[in-house]
Amino acid sequence: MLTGVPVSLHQRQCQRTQRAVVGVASRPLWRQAFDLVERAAGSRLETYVQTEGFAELLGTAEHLQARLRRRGEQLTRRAWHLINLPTGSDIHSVQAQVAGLERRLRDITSQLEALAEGDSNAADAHSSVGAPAIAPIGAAKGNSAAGNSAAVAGEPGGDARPDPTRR
Amino acid sequence: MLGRIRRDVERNALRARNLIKYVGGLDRPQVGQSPKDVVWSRDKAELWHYRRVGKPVGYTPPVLIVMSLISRSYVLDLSPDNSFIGQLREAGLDVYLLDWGVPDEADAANKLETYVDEYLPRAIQAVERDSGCPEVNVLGYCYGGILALLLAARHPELPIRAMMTMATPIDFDQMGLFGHLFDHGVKPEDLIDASGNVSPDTIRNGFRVLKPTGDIASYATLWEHLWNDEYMAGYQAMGQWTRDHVPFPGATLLQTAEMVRTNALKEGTLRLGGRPVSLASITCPLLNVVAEKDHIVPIAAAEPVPSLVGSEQAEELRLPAGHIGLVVGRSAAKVTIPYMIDWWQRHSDPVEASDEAVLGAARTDDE
Repeated sequence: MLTGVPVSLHQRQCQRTQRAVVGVASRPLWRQAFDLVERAAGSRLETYVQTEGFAELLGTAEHLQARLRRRGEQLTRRAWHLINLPTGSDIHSVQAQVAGLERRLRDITSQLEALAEGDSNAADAHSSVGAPAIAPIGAAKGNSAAGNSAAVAGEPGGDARPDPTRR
Repeated sequence: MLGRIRRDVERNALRARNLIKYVGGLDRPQVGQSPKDVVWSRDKAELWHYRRVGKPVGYTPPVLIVMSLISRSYVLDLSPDNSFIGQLREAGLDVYLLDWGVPDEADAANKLETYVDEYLPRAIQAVERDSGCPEVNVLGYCYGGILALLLAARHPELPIRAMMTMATPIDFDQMGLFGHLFDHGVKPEDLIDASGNVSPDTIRNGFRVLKPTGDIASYATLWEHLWNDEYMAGYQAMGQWTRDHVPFPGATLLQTAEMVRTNALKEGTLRLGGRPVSLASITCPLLNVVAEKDHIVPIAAAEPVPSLVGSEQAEELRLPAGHIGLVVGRSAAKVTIPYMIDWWQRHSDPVEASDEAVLGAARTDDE
């Protein structure tokens, strides 16, 4: 834990508790009564929702809801198709196909970028032969190579700039 | 006595006026208004750079904020006087934010690898290019913290100077309901809708269930302060955000459910793209910010981060706040955010006037 922080935070907390006591006293009566009930009921409910029993109940409810949704979709689809009308499921299936095409387009774009970066890196390697080294901003400031960037420093010919497409 | 009656009458008149405005949806506060530029985008993801308005960058490297996949990023920039990002900028930090946008069918197949191996390394490259600085500081909030940790663990070659994780769940056995949800009955497939994603309603209900009386308590507080215009503006902005989740990609949910079920991050058994992920390979300085009153990510679930990474400087900052209270509200502005800013400043270099000129030259379309 950060040194010095807990003490100052504790002081602030004490000040805030004093303010809170004053704040509670100035609250309207209806709010004080509400808070009493809400705190008592709320804490019990919050404890209950953290139990495994509640998780099981939630699981059953979700599963049932999903089954009902699927069953409802099947029934309405049959009804609408009887009169030759498209259904929500048909639209979703078209959307899924369009999404599939978009994903393929993304993949192709990524591959093209990787190829283009590969080409430009090769060109850079040719043109940088004999070029003077340029120190990056802050290179002289002691800790510029700190942290994860230090991992690159020891690599022979390591490129400090990330190039995810090359991996 | 007379004064009190007069005050109550005045307040009730204001209550009536504000209630009409609230119910009618009038006077909605504008959120996420800090001036920014999109400096990089890919599919739905956008990298925003917050402009330097009247104040030069005081520290380098820039801070890249990685948002969670389930909520909108404007929580970090709710209003001009309640803006986490604004406060970082005021302190002289150069701020970038990676916003994931709103996933749809095309993003349903996005896996953790999509974010950790494709979007994030490219976003870091874009920050380097735009800022002209060869290093980047990374801040991950909530699920964004998981993404940031996985990024640093899988890509040690990335120039990450320092990292901050805020309210980031790591020990899923300590996550309460969310920790044993997939162990006891809930099939992740049941949560995925026809678009292939988890709908925002399902996500919202998941959070509401954690505080069953939260809504009614919130309405009671609203009634109590309905006369107060300043409170109303904050309440509406915050209320808007808590109802404004985004779909969660289905493929990522399946991976996350497995990660939660096996507590893979804590146990070190997570594999991405067929390769094991070891948080111990993270060596940059790290600050793990945990919130004592966090009901979404309990403190015990977030605490182990420093013990799992390989950093020599891995610290914990424990703050008396809730999950959202870490970054939003008066207490955040006065207590929590200044501690975070102080840590960033200690892990950055002050910018000299000459450096500032070089940094500015790298950015031609800024301001």
